[in-house]
Amino acid sequence: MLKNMLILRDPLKKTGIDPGKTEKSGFAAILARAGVGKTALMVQIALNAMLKEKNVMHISKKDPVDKVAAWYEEVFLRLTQDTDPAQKTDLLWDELLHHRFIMTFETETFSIPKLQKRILELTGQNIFHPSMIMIDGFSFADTSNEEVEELHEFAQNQGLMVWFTARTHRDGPAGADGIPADLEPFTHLFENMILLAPEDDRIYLKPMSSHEKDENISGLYLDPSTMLIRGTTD
Amino acid sequence: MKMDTRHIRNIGISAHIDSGKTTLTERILYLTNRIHRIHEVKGKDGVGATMDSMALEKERGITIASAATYCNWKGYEINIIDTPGHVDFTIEVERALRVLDGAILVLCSVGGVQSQSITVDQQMKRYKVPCIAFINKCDRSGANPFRVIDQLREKLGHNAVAIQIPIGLENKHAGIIDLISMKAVYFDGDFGQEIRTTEIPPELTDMAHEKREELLDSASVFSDELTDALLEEREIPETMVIAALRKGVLARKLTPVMMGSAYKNKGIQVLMDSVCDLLPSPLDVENYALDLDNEEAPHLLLPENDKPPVALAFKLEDGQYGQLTYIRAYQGDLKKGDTIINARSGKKVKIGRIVRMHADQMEEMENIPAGFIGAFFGIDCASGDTFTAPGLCLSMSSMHVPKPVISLAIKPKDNKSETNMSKALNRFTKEDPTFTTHYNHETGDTLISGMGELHLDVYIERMRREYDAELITGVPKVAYREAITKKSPFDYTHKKQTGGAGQFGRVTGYIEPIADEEFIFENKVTGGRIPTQYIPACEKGFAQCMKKGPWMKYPVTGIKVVLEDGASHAVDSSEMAFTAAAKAAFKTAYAKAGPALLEPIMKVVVETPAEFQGGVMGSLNQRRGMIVGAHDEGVTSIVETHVPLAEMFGYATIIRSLTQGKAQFTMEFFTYKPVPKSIVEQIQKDAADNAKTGT
Repeated sequence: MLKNMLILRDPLKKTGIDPGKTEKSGFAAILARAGVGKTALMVQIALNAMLKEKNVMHISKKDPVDKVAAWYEEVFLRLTQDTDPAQKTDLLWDELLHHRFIMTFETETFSIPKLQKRILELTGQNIFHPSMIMIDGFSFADTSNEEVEELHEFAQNQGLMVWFTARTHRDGPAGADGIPADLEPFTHLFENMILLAPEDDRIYLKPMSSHEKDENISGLYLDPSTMLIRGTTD
Repeated sequence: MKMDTRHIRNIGISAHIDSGKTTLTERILYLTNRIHRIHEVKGKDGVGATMDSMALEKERGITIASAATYCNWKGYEINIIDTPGHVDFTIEVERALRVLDGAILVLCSVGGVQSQSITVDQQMKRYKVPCIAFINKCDRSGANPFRVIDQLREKLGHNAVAIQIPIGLENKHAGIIDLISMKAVYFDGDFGQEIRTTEIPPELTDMAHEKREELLDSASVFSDELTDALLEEREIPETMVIAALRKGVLARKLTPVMMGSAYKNKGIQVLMDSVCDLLPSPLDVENYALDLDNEEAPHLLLPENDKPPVALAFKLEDGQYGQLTYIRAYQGDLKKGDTIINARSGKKVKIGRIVRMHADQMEEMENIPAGFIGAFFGIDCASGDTFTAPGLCLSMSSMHVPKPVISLAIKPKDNKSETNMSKALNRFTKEDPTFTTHYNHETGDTLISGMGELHLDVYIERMRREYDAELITGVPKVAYREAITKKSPFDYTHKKQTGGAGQFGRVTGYIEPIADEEFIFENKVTGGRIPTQYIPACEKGFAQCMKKGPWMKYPVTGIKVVLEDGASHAVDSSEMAFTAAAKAAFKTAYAKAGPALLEPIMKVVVETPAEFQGGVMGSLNQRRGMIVGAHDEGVTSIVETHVPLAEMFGYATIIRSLTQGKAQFTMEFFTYKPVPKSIVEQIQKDAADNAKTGT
């Protein structure tokens, strides 16, 4: 009941991001300046997938496991705060947790080959089969082109959608469409690119991918008080 | 006591078994005049050679087995605190480690970094204890301190840097070269007590310069002054290098490595100098208490004597004069005659005798200043209690004591063991609030309960070793709970007419599940349908049912009972009748409320070398574990999971064989969760089988 209700009212359901709609594999990115809400949006996309029984692996290079777990719990509580108290949110939460795996790295210990090895270990032992990977805090500038291409190929072979957060800089160099220079060489690998753009009192989601623009995303924004995704028609 | 707090060192000596901790401690106490004769571990009687250092510690008596022994070195007061090394998850270990400000990590120059070294190192990391390393046994055949330094870097991830190099190794080990002063140091006399400093032998000059370069390079990261001096090729004073090294150690980003041979009395004095120069004083360490008025928010303590006192009782010792309570003062000055408050019990305590332990004697003291360690006599408290000035509401450890999740029946083998067992249990329950005992009058068994299999194992082992209590142990049992999943109404009339006064009581209402509370009773009866004097009897009846669930006889948790209506009889109603009505009402409602069996879920954190991460995860997954996440630190990997306690029996052995003994895990109670249906059936079947066989 509660699960269906949350799925039904999910503003992402009409967009190409919705994992229940398409079985895409490849890369997607959330771009924004620091502190605008990249992680909040990433966690909502992940929870949206978990509600649809998709397994999500969350990789963080900046936060420890506890902190990442707290993000998910916080966003879930906000999503369910106005639901009927008789609905068993704790049972749903327990169910969702089985669809999430958090993996954190000390910044200097992270590498693409290591990540691939860890994923293969988990799937090989039948511990966890991710269909979506969220990488928070990935630096394209510090990774070689070969490694990024290799990860893309790996994602496609494994049927994985890999989401990245990438920081844009107010005064930093940017290419066409305002895409950060670090990401510019890889734009062809991305299925989706969403820019979080603060305007007035809202943070709008703007599609940026040069070859596929999902106009349904344009109607969405993050409510700055809760950081939850809302549709302009809400 | 007028000691400067900057000249205090509260340290621990951590080591792998057989790497020379006992010998080293013995030498330190001898050289600081705390003992006047050295007992050799490998004495002529040969007793020591086959025994591990822990057993020897006990045989030697109070010097090393004391919770805290103090000695003086060049105007510094050094408290050496005994750190239990055998388990890593008990409250007792946590307390002992938090009393330390720094530590010496002792490694064997032959054995290098061994499994126990990894364990103690992880403990240090967990409690953020800065340390220096001492590579012992450089006189042994096969000694290679530089290989051990590499292992410190590779296996433990330390930024280890030698501040000494040996003069000769194995049977040619003669002394050390101090890379800070660039002098050769020899230790003459029967016990190495005479230090002779000379120029570096010519054959070692190149190596000494090369290693000094490495040292300065590592130290310069922590000092701009040193970096500038190096770039400008100025002369570098010793104090500048020491200051830079100290900065690195305090930040836990650098591990200076010393070397020598405790057995051959080489390198001890310079190690003591480094303890004073490089390890932190109580002023250098930030200690936090929990503010009980503010949801246990951290509260920074200042090691200043003019602040109100906050102190921790970290160890109890039963001596011939009564209970000796070891105290560390974190803030304020504890004076004889002062009144302080035990934060746990709220009781006022007047400080009587204060003493300080020497090797084999006590010294009376007038006070324990901030940052110091001492002991109280004759104060009744439990280990881990916090003492504060009246008016403060702070605690050094959380007031929340989790309920035990596992039980084990024990029985003494003979009368002597019975007396010893009760002495031991009395002490352990005082020391560790998570360890409880209960005597079963029906079976004559004593039931011990704790937070995990290993937790209970440790206490059984300690009863055997420390109290000579031989025990017969049963099979560990998980503390299951029953709960309901939905609201269920009740309407029950208790009516009995068997001659004489009858019994009558009617109760109606409902029960429903609640989170975060064990039991709530709400009375909504109006108009005196149940007379007020019988309401407590109703509550008693419902509460009694919570102790033993009607379904599987486990305690029931998370139920709200709402009493809405009822009826009474002017003559036949009584407290007994309403209690009986409530009990029967509960049973009927409970059966329709979707009863579920709950099991304790443990938060299990495994720290393993990264190469074993996959295997560790697999083993946890097989145990119905839900893997929350994994943290990769390069050399090690930390896997965090939630696993049912029932699946964790024997896991210590499994993980040891899976990881060649290199991983360790901690386990603590997390929550109760419903048991899967198939497992419930198995538990029911086992319970039925046990009932048949009477076990």
